Amino acid sequence: MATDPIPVELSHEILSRLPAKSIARFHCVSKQWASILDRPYFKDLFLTKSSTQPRLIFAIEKNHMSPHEKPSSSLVLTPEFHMKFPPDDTWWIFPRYDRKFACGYASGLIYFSCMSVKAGYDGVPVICNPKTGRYEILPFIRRYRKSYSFFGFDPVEKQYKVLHMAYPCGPNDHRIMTLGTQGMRWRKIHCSLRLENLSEGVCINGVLYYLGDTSQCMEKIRGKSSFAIACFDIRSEKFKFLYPESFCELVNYNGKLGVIYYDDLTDDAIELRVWVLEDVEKEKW
Amino acid sequence: MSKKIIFESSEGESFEVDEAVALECQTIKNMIEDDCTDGGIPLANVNSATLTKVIDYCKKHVEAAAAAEANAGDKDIYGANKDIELKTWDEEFVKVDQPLLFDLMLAANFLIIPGLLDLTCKTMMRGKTVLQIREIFHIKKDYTDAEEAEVRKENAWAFE
Repeated sequence: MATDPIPVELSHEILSRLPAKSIARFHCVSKQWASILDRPYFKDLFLTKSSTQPRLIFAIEKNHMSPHEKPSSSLVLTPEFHMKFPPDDTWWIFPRYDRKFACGYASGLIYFSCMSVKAGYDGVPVICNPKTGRYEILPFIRRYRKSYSFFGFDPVEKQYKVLHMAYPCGPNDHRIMTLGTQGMRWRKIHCSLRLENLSEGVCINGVLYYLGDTSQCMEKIRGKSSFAIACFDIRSEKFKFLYPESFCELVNYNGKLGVIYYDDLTDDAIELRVWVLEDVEKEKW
Repeated sequence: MSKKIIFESSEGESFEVDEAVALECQTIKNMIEDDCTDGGIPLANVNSATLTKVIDYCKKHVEAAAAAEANAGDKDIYGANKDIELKTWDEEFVKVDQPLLFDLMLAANFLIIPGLLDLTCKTMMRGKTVLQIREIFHIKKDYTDAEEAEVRKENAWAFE
């Protein structure tokens, strides 16, 4: 074992390279270490690091189909890493009407928009941290089943927010909530354009993108397709809309928004075109 | 013939290396740029055993960088074969006893070799228990047993 104590500046170098699990474990070393590791510096470091790390791919396993067709679930994160979530077998994730699970991913946390935590109760939103297996149940919000909700992270203020968009034909009641340790509640938020949502949210650099269709709720704008990409700035909570030429798939392309158009050329050939958004404000692709 | 740089360890032993290898150390790079390396560079706080390892590391990384540049054109689609080889080499390189690892870390910090500093810092902490950490960092436990149990419970997921 080393006999000399490690110089202070080196301890810092060492601690800043620790993975999350070690950071949590080394809270037990001493009170001083616990307080050092709790400093905002380390949390920032970790949040910024986690955005550059390889992304997770996860699969939700359908466990069993009961008479009521309740899909239960467990998460499988990378072949080496399995975790059981939800923690209790009585929990299950509500599938949306289209049988997709509504969930979102932002800076290390996974969001499930609708999870039943007690038999017979309506689903509530749940946030899960796949690294720790911890979860947090968010306040209930009564919503039409077809409505969409999204999850995003603002790297400047370091806040997670959940956005619940109203269904286009229902009342214009959009809600937002900032995740925090206390007093979480759904606030009203204004959005100028009514959209029927068509995609999951993609959160990049503090902006949440999702695709919607305006045709259900508005007259067609001349010369534009009825599709719109909502760009929601998580910090300022302001919407901006971009108009893609047709239906498209939204992806995170190297830290920028990429949209993929599928063009059917002939029966057996499809052309894929990818556009990358360079600047949201200037709408430069 | 490329230019040679001479290092002198704390024991007074001389080590001759190519300038390219010495340039891996930011500290030495600055000295070379300032043209004050004639007559050798005394490294009073790096012993011969450590210096040998440090030079090995720099040599390997200079070679790997040169090889990567030469092969840049014909990478296969998986690209990073060379990187994997170098990573394996790095892992073998730090399979040393704790005091030497510690000396390597100090040397990397002093000579400013970012790659080696990163490698040694990470290795230093890998798989260490709380007790071992207290030993390495000379930390006295200031928790009571009950307090420690509480903190352990809070972070239970990390002990699985």
